[in-house]
Amino acid sequence: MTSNTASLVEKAVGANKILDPHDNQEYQVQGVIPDLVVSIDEERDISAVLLVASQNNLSVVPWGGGTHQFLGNIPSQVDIVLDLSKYNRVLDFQPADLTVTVESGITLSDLKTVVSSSDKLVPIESPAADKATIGGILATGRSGPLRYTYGLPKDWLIGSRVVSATGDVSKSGGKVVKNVTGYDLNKLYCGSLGTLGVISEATFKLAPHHPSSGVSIAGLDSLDIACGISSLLMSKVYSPQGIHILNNNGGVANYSLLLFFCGRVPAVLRRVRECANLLKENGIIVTEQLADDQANEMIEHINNMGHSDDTIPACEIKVNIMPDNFLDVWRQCETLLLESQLEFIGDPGFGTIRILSSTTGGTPDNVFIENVSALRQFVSERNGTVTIERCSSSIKEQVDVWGGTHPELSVMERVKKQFDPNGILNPCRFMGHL
Amino acid sequence: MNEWVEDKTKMTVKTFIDELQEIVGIENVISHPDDLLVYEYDGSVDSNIPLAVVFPSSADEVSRILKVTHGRGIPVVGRGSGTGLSGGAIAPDGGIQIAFTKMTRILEVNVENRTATVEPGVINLDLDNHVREFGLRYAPDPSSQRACSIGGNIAENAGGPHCLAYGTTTNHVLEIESVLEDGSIVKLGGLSRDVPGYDLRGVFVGSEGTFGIATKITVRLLPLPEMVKTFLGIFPDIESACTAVSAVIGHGIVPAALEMIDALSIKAVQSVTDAGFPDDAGAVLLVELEGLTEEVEEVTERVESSLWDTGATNVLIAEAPEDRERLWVGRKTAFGAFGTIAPNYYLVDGVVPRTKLTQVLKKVSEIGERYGITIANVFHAGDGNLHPCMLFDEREPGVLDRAMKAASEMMEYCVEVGGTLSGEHGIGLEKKEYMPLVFNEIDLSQMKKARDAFAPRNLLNPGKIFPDGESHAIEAHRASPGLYI
Repeated sequence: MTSNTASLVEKAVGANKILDPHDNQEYQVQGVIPDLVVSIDEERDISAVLLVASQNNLSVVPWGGGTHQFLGNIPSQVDIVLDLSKYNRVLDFQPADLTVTVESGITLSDLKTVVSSSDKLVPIESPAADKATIGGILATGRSGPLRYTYGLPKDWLIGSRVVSATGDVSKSGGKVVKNVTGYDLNKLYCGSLGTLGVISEATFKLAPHHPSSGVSIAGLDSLDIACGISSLLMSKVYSPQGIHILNNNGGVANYSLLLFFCGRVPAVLRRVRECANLLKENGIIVTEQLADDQANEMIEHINNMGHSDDTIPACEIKVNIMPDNFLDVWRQCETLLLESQLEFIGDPGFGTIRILSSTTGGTPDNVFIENVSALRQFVSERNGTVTIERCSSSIKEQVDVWGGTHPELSVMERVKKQFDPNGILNPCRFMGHL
Repeated sequence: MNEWVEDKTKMTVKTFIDELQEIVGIENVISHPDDLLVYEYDGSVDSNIPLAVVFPSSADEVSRILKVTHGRGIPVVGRGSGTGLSGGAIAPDGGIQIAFTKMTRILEVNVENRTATVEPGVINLDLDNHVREFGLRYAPDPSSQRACSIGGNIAENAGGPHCLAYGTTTNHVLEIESVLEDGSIVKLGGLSRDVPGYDLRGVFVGSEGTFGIATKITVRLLPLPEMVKTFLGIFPDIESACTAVSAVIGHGIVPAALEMIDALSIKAVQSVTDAGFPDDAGAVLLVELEGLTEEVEEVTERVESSLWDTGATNVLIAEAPEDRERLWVGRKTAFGAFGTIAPNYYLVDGVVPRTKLTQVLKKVSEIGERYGITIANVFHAGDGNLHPCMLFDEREPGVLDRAMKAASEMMEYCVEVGGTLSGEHGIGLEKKEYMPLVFNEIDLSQMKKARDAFAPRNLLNPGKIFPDGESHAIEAHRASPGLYI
């Protein structure tokens, strides 16, 4: 970036919105330090920066709380970071209509606080909820332990305003809970990692607040039994709202089974009771039963695994798979990823396995890459996907962390070309280095 | 006007039909004007005769058909059951329809994964009935579910009464095999619920057949609930029934369904079937609760009190399946029953914030009176999806024009109060000129970018959704009487 273009950005948004260059280091994206960081507090600033960027072929990375910038491939270039964390107002909250509209820089915690004041719930989960912003959560498609019941953030998004690569602001959807007026571009923006536009505003439909929560925990020595009982639990009318299986490195039992419950009090009580009975009938004893605040803390703890400062893994792989292949894929992960201290967080109902490693364990890059490739082959034959979420930059330099051979890639390339023809938005971060 | 339309000589048409017949067999292409008449229409008021209708049996045949049409620049429209109410299945001049009446197989039901894989011509209710044998169900339930197809549901992102709790079609589709305009076959989405990459599946659903032709669809299924309880709230007028809607939601209850039926609709329904709706009611509300017994029982009292407190003259509860079925048959046959009042109807599909229902319905009534049009209201009150249904006899000079003007004012008012044009029927031909009420040029250009990524030549269902000005404009004709009942 030339000093001339920097001054153009400064002219567009005002010098007071450009951060001190000494702070740029804090906004590095996988080792790439931006030339300029702009603090955004109004939509027209986003437009103004993107207009200048598009006219001068400068790359732009949207930045919410910076909690998930480890995702994706290494960007080919980072000229400007848009820090949206101060663009964080609640614009329209209609409890009676069960809708809320916010600026994209609001954190998930703040949004939850606002809607819970009227006994409403925004059923979105993300690690680091006190830092992660709504824009970032939508762009990365994060979810949490209750994803089996709540789905993904895009399932709750009903409207958005997005700033295009050339600075134009457009809207999609609206503020009503049911809407087929025009294409649902919201779906396209969600999970696109800011490569198609910068999400400026988001409107969500809300759910009623759930007054009660519960978590049941049991220890198991066999993964087969853990998967079998999970499948059985999910087939019942009283199924939990989420199930997780964790491996225990050096724990008393080899695996932990966690059942999550939420909803109205009598229903939660029955689900907890009947699930415990079913486990007992199968020789499994619930060793810990948590309710309400304690249960919520446990759900939050699971949600944050691998994201609190002392647990950030060196490597993290995410596998998405259909429930009937969950066990086989877990086994294959254990076989192919040879680290002794791998941490598995499995969601058999939704079909997700997160595999975390606290160290690189001395595995040479080429071996890691071969193993992931073999796992990918195994999983794709079972209609699943494997994404490397974290790994060393030396590995990222050699692979496409998304896999890169997705059958839809040609259409995705055309989408990217349409929305960001010059490739200035988060360049190379996305699947196929889009 | 495209080159094909200009050059539609007898010889080129014959060669083209021959090519289609070579792909699917002579018996699976119709092109005689008499045979094409029924394909001139869907459930809307517009019509246009297609050049031919093709009945493929496989994705491969669809692909080969599209390679031919792509080579010749011929527009193509996918057609499910033709139940759409926005003109979405009407062919443009010189265009063909691909109809899916031969692709009606349920290919697989995976009970553990709770998925079903189907061909696009499978009827919505047939799928639901089939999977109920496994203790599962397909949640989206448009009122036309006895006739409408899953492929059509995908195109329109169809809704239905139970979408209040479970979401519309888009929330229930995992993977779509689709043929693009150049004949290439792609898979969109995936069998797992969280697929990395751009959500092409998500933007495809509701694209009204302009992105591609779905040839195989995997949908999510839900378990059958333990308890279902349906309340019939009887009200002296529609205003108090609207207040009840807000009261129920205000109590933190999102029922599985929350449907409103006004006095005129009650009379129509009761004249064709005894649904148990009182003849003298000003409006009835159907409120359905589902879930664990404890979940339903806990809120039963609150639902009942919400209905009584807002002026209900009676509240009946149906728990037995046959009693609930009777109520739902009444709700879902309402549009057919309108035939006892007038030979034609025209349905508006606006959505408004729930809290604006009373205000908007007053306006709807005022507009109807001003234009001298009879209006019946049967709609998805829980999610604010209105369906003012204008009833008329098209043989009356000028009445269709008045109905259109009334519809226009209703849509404008929906947008004015923070709502939008369509909740579940799509834009199609019918509402495309109203799109600027909701979206500006930039909004629409972003949408076109998405379409151009899938269909750069705009050969799939062209002339729909966007206001006129694009190629392949359709000179549709308003229909003759008696076709929509």
